[in-house]
Amino acid sequence: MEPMVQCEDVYKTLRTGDGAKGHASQVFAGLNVVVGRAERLGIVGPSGCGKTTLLKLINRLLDVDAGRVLVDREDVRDREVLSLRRGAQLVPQKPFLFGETVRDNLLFGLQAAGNGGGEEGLSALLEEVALPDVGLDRPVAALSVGEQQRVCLARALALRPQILMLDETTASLEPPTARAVLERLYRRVEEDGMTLLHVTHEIPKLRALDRIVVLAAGGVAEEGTPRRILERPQVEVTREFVRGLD
Amino acid sequence: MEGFVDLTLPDVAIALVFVVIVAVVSALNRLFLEKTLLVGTVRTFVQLIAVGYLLKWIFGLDRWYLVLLAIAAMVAVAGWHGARRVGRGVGRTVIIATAAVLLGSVLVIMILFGVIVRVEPWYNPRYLIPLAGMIINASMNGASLGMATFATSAREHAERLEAALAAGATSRLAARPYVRHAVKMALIPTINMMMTVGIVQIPGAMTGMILAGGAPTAAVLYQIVIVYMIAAAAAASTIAAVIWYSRAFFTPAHQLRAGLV
Repeated sequence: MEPMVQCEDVYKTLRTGDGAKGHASQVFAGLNVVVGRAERLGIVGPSGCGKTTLLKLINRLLDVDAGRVLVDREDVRDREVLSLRRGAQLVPQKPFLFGETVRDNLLFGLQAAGNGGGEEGLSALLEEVALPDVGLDRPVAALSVGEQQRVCLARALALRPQILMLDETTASLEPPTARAVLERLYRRVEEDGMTLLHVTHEIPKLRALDRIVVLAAGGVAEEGTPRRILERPQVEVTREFVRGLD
Repeated sequence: MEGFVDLTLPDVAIALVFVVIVAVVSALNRLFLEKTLLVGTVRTFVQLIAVGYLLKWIFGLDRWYLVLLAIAAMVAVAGWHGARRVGRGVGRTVIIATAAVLLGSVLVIMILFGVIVRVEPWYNPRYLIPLAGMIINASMNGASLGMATFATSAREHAERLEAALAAGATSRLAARPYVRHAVKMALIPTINMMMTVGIVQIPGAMTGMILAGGAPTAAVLYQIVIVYMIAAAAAASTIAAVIWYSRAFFTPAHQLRAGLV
């Protein structure tokens, strides 16, 4: 397996607030994870186990305290950060849109990169996220939360990232919509050879992935195929997680 | 300039009666304003008496370096006080606020005295100190309000800022809407003042000149110049303060700085 993302002995403590009122919690203490090129990896674990933190270390919204994170065999701190982020797109759970229209959003990352705004393919992107009826000129204020979420996804795809990171991204969609969106998305991921990191706690989504990593207590509690993890969990954390899924 | 009525300490004591009335009203209604009112009353008296003697001394000595020293002290106090109201991360805010006040007010003061009010000598403290005071005050209020507004919205919208960064934006692009908002909010008092000056309130400098026996028409021209200069200083200091301060919220790697947000 050719590695796309490597976390090597990663330590990370998150701090909120500052000075005496600040609060610090250690999220990772020696985390090791390897994600292969074009692999579709599920990330699960109890809340606070660092799922989101892991994604943010990969696109460098956060920096490690110790250890290192490599993307395409290069330390993320040695990469030009903006191009790293465009190549490793993170779509958070809460949708945030920028500018006035759907078009503004699809062009947001491209324009931030100084690539101007080629409009080719933008409508196709909307179709890809199951929004064929939403025009590029639709004001973002007129979109439902589910539509906003899909525009966020399309915005990420517009940058043609090598790595796509979904953080409970489709949680706010109706199940049939979510299914349709993910089906197409997984196909696109496969066609383009994208590497997918998907934080989710929904069984059907997990089953469609290549491998699942369970995070707990500052590191990886166990990993394996979705089938193995869901049907024969080996550590208590995973058993508890699987019980909570139903 | 003639017909100027000198006030005496007994006159001040009579004015104090009104403050006492407010304190009594506060006590009767349990508004708990008495202590603040007492501190404010004492500070007003002590600060202004001290300034009166200090200015008398500076006017008497008539030395350029003393005048500049007085202005430097005003800028320093303005920077410190302006930053204090912003809160968190105070070390850096003091430097930013002071630099912004310095930039905005010194620029405007130089134009005011170099081009418009050309007094002799250039450091004439009778002109320079009170006018600089007004301009520095406007700079301080703008910078302080702008920084406080930016801090509040950046903390409130931290997730959104991070989403913009994740989508590929530079920190400058991500912060831009909040920079704009903060500058706009901070300049509202200045714009309001420009809209209502002379109608809702007769400004201090104009009042002073008229009280001292100056012609109202002459006082008005002074006041117009002062209002323009105040607006320019407030705008320059606010923009500088908010832009510099917004940078402090991000690392060079376009990350939100932990602890600030």
